Parts: sequence; structure tokens; C-alpha cells
Amino acid sequence: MRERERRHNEERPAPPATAGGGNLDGLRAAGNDFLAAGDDAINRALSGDSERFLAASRQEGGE
Amino acid sequence: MEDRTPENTMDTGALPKLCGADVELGNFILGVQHGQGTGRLASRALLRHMPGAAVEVDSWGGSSGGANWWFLDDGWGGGRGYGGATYNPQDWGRRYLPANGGCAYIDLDHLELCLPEVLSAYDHVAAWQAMLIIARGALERANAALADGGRVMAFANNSDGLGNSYGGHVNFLVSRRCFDNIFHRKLHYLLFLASYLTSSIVLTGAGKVGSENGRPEVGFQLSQRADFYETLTGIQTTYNRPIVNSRDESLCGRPGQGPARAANGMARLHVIFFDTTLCQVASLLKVGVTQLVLAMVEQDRVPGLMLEDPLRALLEWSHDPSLRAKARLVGGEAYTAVDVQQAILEAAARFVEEGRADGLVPRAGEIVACWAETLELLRRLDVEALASRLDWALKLCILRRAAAGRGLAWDAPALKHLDLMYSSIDPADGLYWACERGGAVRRVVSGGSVERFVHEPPDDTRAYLRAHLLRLAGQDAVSHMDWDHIRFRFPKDGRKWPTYRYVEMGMEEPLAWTRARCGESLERAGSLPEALTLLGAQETDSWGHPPKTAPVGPRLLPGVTAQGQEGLCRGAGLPEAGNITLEGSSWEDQQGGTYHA
Repeated sequence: MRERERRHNEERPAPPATAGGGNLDGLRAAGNDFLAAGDDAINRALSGDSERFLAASRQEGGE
Repeated sequence: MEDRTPENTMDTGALPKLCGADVELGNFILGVQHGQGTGRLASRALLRHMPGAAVEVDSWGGSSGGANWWFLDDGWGGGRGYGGATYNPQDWGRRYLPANGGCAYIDLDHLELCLPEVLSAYDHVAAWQAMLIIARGALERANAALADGGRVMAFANNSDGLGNSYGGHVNFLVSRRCFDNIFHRKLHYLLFLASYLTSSIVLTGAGKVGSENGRPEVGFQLSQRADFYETLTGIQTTYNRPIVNSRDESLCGRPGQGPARAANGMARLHVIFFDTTLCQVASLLKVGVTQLVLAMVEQDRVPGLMLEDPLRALLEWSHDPSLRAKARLVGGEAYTAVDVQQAILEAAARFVEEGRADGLVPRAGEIVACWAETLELLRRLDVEALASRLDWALKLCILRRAAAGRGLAWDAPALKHLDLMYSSIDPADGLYWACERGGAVRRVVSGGSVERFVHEPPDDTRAYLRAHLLRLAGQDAVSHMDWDHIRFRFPKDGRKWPTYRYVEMGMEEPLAWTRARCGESLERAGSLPEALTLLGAQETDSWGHPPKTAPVGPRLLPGVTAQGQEGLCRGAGLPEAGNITLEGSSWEDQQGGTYHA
């Protein structure tokens, strides 16, 4: 819980909610920057053996 | 403007669009090899660390006695969740959460999270995020307890990419008349619902790399679940899955009190169609728009939008992330999924403007506005702008970014790996959470709202009373419960064998039993027996049936004196003897008591 709260405090503001079109270029540019925040997570995920990971992820069929 | 308060809408058959949700997580253990997969082990490891009171639940009203008979098997032996109860692989080890009134259990080796009932789509978003925080705590504890070399993984998704799907269901309160119209009287209503659901994947699809279930190959598609729908309607959920599920379980009155039907005119639409979403806008639209659509159907305001072949349309739309694919309506016109959504939006906007959603769908105007904004972005196919709102768009942006930097094709295992990691509930490795922390995702509820549902139930549904009674009861006092009732047990003193008196709190009407109705009684009561007295709970036998022999005179709850009960009843405005028959001559007493050990 402490870890979650710490991360929460570090969050950056989300892009504005406007969607009508006026600020779309800015929204896209900002979105691209924000997506870079996922790069570390992508790198971590792909540092392992993807094929082994996929084989391990088999699930029971559910509802 | 029409008065659509709950009291008045009952007369017209229209009901507030209460929403529940039951979501199966993907779960396995990385680093452990087992021929059958590790879902069983993983789901049990997670459930073991979920908070909450383990209680017996079964849909046929059986009871095996004590709530504290919970134990976990070794994960492989097909063990029983409860002493004496039949093992049910689709409902194993259920435990309700005194914190927020939701629950968790294991369904076919998936940890299933059930949200407390809410009225507002915004509350659904907050409650869903809160339940993920609770599950995340269980994940952390499970991994801390696991031997080195293994790691429990949990995903908020609907497919393993290997042909196995699991659901994220949402459920809505509808009138019995509405339910019967959809499934038994007006089948164009059913076809309209199918059109709405199939086209909604442009909003609610979570995105998926590849195809499954024998469907044509595709690099990336909008929906996790589309490949698995094989029929238009049916009651089943695990095979030959239907777009519109017709399972008739009201959870508003127990079977036997009207064959599979609540006598109070309430029914529940069990919507198995949607993907599990993480983006808050997608989750808001999934529930909020469906609330509006069902309110329209309930009031016979059904647009004439019927797809000629909903199953074919679903597949073609899902397999085309360019959103250009068209499907034929019954009348011959060809529509994209966005076209269908736009037509429904326009009808819904008029419906809301006329005040027909008032009292039924909280914040309907805001939902319509968000829906319209998002459809506008979809019309432009502005995937980068949509990424802040919709999971499929965010996932597509992430995958494109990863693929471009590494020269990966869609069939590369690394991209499927990232597809799964998008939905990991662990904030340390889940790609969604990384984007959310980075500010890439639009929020529609505050962190405070989410945190509230980690610790508190909604105020405006029966989840309020459920959570508060569980807090008063502790685990040992709960004999049996389901969404619409809780049966408590109280030890009888002075018996040679442990015997119990049973008192049941019925909560058939999900819109009653709110803070407004129960809060004062709960505050005044100093104990569970006092609270049950004030709330009008009824004595039953251990199976929940009324006592065979009518009690004579005023009866007392254990632990409440005659004077105390008199005072409690007066304070609550109840008759002093009234129908509170909470002690006395149950059938079991006459038979010499029931043995529970």
C-alpha cells in the first residue's frame, strides 16, 4: 500500500479531456511523450524469454 | 420533466440501472512447470490472500453449516471448499468483503472479483479500480509467500492467446417486463441489443494480438472476446458463447419464491459480452452507455438497428482496426461499427434530453457527452488521441512503438508477450499502469473515489447493508449468504451439542437497504442481534425456510433483553412484537437440534 501511494504521488497530470479537435495535435504529441513512460516496462518485459512466458501463461477456459 | 424517482418508475416498469460486475482474472505461476498449467495453483494462492469472510454460498440453497469451515486444498486434488458442500468448480471458496460489500471466489481456476452493486457508472469505474487494488494486495502477499523461483502473475484480460477465454461480466437491473420482451416477446429488441454490443467493441475492446478459436489470422484486432462468440443468444457462458446471454438469475429473491423469478418484478441482464477494460473512459462508457441503452429498451424506445448477421459483423469489425469494415443491417444498408454507435448515440441523446433517463442513469448527460467526443475521435481514426481513452488504442500505440524500435512483426512472440503484460495488475510490470503513471490515460474518477471503494461500500445500494452487517458479524456468525440475503447463526446456550438459531436478513430489493434506510439503525445498534432486530430480520431454519411452528408472543434475539428489544423497536418505529420472531420453535428445535461440527 505504501508503494502504491508513493507512485500515486508521482503521477503526472493526464492530458486534457477535450476531444472536439482544437487541441488534437497537442494532445497527440503529449500522448506520445507520455507513452514513453511505458518504455521501461516494455524493456523489462522483453528482457526475458517471451516464448517461455507465453507457454507458461496457459489458462483454463473460463466464462 | 417526468418524475423518475425509484418509487414512480416502479409503476412504469422502469428501474434505476443498478450495475454489478464479476470479472475473472487470468492467473498463472511463472517459473513453475505443470502439465495442466498453473491456473489452479495461482488462483488459490491469490484467493488465500484476499481479505474477507469466507462463507458458504450455493445457488440451490443448501447449507453445510459453519462459515468458518473454510480450507484450501493443495491445488491439485479437486478439494472441497467447505466441509460437506459439493465441490463446485465454478464457485469455489467464495468470500465476501466487509470492506466494500463485493466478493471474490474461484471460477474454473480463475480468481473472480465481484464488485459491489453500484448505481452510477462513475462508481463502477472507481469500484473496479478499487477491486484491482485489493487484488494487487493479494498478489503481493501471495508472491511474498511463494518459494523462490516462482512468481504469481495476474492479468485483467480475457484470453491467454492460446484459445482459452474467461469473462469480465457486467450485470444490470432491468424490469421483468423488459427481460421478457428481450427474450420472449419482442425479438427485435434482442437484435437491437446484439447490434449495440457488437458495435461497442470500438469503445470497449481491449485489443489483442492475433486470433483464436479457429478464426482467420489477423495481426491485431479490437476485441479480446470477439473470436469466442459463436451464437446469438443462450444461457451458457463457457462454450458456444452467446452475444446476448439469456441467463435468468435475478438475485433479487431466492429460487422457490417464484420459479427463477423474483416476485418484485425485477430481473437481471447478465452481459457476458464485454472485454475487461482498464482505461477509465472505456470502463465508464461500457457501463454508462449500456445503462442508457437498457433504459431505452425498458421504455420501448428501441432504434430500428438490426444487423443482418451480428456474429459475422462482430468478427469483421474486430478484425479491422482501421474501422472501415461495414456490415449489413436487415434493411440492406451497410454500416461501420462507428456508424451504428453514432445512430444509437443520437437516439440516446434525445432520450436523455427528454428526461427519460432521470432517476435511472446517474450523470446521463456527461456519459452522452463523453460518448459523443469519443465517437468523433473514432470517426477521425485518431488512434493516438484515442489512446488516452480506449484500451485497444492505447495497446496498439504501445505495440507499434515497441515493434518499430525492434523491427518486430505481429506474429513475433515478443508482441504477444507485451499484449499480455499490458493487463498485468502488478503496477511494477503492467504496461497500462506505466502509461497511467506517465499521465497518458484520462481519468474520470479521482484517486479519492477509488480509495473510498477499497474501504467502504456504495451508500446507495444493498451493498451498504451487506458490508456493514458483515463487519458486525465477524466470520463465525455468518451461516450462508448470497447477493440477496445473509443468514446468521447464533449458538444456543446450555445444549449438549453445538446448536444454532438462524436469523436471515433478506435483501431482495437491491435499491433498498441503503445508507439512507439503514444507516441510523446500524448506528444505534450496539451488536449484530440488535441491528437485525431493528432491520426486521426473520428467524429461519438452517436452510433458510421459515420455522414450521409459529412462535407465540414476542420473541427475542439472543443477547437482547425484552426491555432492550422493546426500546429498539420503538426507536425504529417498529411494532413492539411485530413480525420479529427471532427465537423459538424452529423445526430443528422440535427435532432436538441440529448437529453442526
